[in-house]
Amino acid sequence: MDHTEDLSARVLLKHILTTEPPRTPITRSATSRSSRQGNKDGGAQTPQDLLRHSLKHRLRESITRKSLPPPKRRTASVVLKRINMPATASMLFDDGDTPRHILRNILRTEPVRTPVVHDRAASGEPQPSSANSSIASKRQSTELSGFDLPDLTISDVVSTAKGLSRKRPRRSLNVTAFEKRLRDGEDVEGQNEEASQDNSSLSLSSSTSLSLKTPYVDVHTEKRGLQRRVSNRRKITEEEFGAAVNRRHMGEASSFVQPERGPSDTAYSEGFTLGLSKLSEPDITTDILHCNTALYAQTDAMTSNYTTVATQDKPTAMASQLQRQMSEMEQSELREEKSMNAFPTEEEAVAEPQGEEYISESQENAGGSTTNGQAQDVAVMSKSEDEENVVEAQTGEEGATDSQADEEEEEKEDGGVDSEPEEDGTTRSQSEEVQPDSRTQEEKEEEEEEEEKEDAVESQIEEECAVDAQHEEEEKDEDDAVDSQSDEKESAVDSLPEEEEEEEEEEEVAEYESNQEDPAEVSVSQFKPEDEHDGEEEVEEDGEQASEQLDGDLEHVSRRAHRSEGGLVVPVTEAEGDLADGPEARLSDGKSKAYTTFDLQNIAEMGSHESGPPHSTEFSNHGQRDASEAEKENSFDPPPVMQDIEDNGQMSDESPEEAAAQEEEEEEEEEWEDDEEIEDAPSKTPAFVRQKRDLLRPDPLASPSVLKNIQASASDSGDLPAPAPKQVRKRRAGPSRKAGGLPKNYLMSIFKHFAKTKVSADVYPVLQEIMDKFFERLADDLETYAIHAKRKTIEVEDAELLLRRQGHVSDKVPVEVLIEKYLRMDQRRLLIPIATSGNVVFPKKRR
Amino acid sequence: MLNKAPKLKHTVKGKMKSNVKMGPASEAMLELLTLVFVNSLAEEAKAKAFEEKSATIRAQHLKAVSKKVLKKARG
Repeated sequence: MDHTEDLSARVLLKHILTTEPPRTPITRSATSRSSRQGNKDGGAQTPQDLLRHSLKHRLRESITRKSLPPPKRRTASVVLKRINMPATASMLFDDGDTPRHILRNILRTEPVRTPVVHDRAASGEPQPSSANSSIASKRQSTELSGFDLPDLTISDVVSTAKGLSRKRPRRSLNVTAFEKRLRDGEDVEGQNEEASQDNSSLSLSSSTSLSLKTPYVDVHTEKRGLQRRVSNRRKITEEEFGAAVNRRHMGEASSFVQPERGPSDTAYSEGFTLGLSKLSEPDITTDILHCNTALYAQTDAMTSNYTTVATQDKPTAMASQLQRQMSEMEQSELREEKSMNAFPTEEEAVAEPQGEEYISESQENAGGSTTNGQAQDVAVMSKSEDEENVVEAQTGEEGATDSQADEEEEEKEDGGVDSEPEEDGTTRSQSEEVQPDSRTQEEKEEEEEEEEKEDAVESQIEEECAVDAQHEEEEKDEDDAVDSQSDEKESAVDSLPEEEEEEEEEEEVAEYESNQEDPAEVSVSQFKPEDEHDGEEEVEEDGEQASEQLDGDLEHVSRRAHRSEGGLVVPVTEAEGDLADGPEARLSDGKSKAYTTFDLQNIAEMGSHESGPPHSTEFSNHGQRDASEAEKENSFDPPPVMQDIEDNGQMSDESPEEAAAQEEEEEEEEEWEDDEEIEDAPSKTPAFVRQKRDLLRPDPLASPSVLKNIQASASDSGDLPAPAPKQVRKRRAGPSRKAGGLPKNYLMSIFKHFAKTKVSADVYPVLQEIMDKFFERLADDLETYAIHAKRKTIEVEDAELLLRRQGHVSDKVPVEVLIEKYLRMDQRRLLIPIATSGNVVFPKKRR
Repeated sequence: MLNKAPKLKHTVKGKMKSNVKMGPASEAMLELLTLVFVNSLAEEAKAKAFEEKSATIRAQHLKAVSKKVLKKARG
């Protein structure tokens, strides 16, 4: 104890010297030590390393059997051996002469300070033990203090060890055991040493602050163990991680299961599922953005139509589509799309009259397959307005796809026609929320068709479609198609019984044309005299002009459409301006999109209005041009455009027949446009759009047959109702589906926010269901309350009553509390009176 | 809460049998109702999940509590 205080090296040294220097058998000469250093047993490491190793080893040993002094001794010796430092260790301690050795010996012999040391010393082999201890002590010292030489001074070691002991908490040494061991181990060495050791050990032990409890061996062993373990672990983890990463890269979410990844697995799986779900959605979102939602709904319809009969498809599809679109006015998307579509149609209509190309295109397309489509369209057009509109929209899409594919050439022609119908279509589209995609496509189809047939009606249809689709690329194609179609339609207009739609479309187209440009009117007039060939010519002319206009407009519109913002007015004006600049240029520029949309719309309008043939011709021209221009998915637009046209019912100039013919042509053109659109602008349109087009194309293919059977429109009309309902049904499915659920991410985010813990992704369907039921009940209750209050509008008090009945609000808890808790500021402002400047309180307090 | 609850009104109106209108203020109340409901749902589900010693809310937890919470929100 007295020594405990005096741990200075000097004191210890003196003590040691007095007792006996070379306690440890290892006391060799410094040379030996050096030699040891030189050949660190096999390892040939630096003495420090050896020391460290031995220390660790010893520590480990001591830790494992600290209660057993004898074994410790042995272990120490064993450790020593393992350390392969017996000789060297012994060598180390051989030098008892030098202070270093002395210190070392002290360290060794002082179990208290450095249990390892003492243990070693106490171990059976004095040398090894001493070596161990010395080594340990050395190591400690070296490690701690970085000294290479062993510190014989126990105090030093101890102190240094204590001070620098960064080892993990040594086990409290059993001092007595240590001492015993020391004594035992030091029997050979010398009792003096032992005594001294004991003293020192005692002092040391007493003084040891438990920091150096563990013997050197332990330290060494521990270190080793730690090191090894650490390294092993690292390896494993790295490997595992690498493997896991690889696996992950391979896409094996499931395989990525590791204990560490428990949570990550969940996340991954969640992410996986989410990703999967997202995969299904992007198309929809993009489609929605591009107002191509109609495409989705219609794709099935289109394909079915296509497969069923070509004749009916376009007009019936368009008509049905238009109908459906009208019914789905609530959808904001549709609104946007409509606005967008409106523009293209207008543009198209404007462009059409300007388009010289239209004429050429129409001429070119005269013999094209678009004629068939146009004929079909025309025939379809002849059917009931609604049917036609819807079908036309659909067929327009189909036709657009077909026309797109077929009429890349006919861009110009369609443009002219499309512009006219598009104009009308825009007006109608504005009024209606027709899915722009369908419209644009329809328009495109119409445009394409027009080219071939130059039927105003068709062009209208196509324009409508084009407007809906609002795809620039397809405009041209559609225009061509529409133009051709319109031409053809005109010929078949007379035979078409479905004058209503045509008239409407024509009217619309005519209106649009008149509104937009003189050429439109001219085309309208042209439409009138033209029944077949004349109509085509006129349509072409008109279409060209209109298409040109429409092209310019369509471009703008289409661009806007893509932005999915209803800036109808602006694009229209711009389009008009553009159209005025250079119809031809427009057509060629690829404003076909807008153009076709316009055309399609116009066509649709024309068809619906069944206005005078001139309009139809114009529309057809427009449509053709549009079709040619907007090769993209404007095919879808025609149907909605058609509807719009019908709705507007402004067209009165064009004769029903012509309008019908135009419509049919438009439809066909639309179809063509669609095809063309798809073909011409593969790079521009996203994949999903292309897919839609592909789907639509088959439908438009049917339209050619319709065009061919213009005269057989009567028969077609019979067929139209069948596919129209189908398409209608399918289209409805989409919107109704959407109406069902809340957005997924919104729901999940809210739920997670309220849950405040992790939420697995698989809760979403269940959550959906629950919310479904909840909304059902909610609506029911609110309605009941409102009706009970003899009101037709649900008011705030109804909701408050519901909350009260649910127990969330009571007399003690006013509803305002909840409002403030949950709602955003803009909502709160509606509910809680806020005083604003001017002594105005809003909302007015009702109670 | 921070978002706008897209299509909420549309969804609810879709469920309505008779055609009734809704003012803007009532739309806000609608949101409030849904939020309150989802809140209670989430709370119950969380409790259930803790009951099963799981830090993550899973579908089965949700299902188990849904019936109860729905009944409570009947009014």
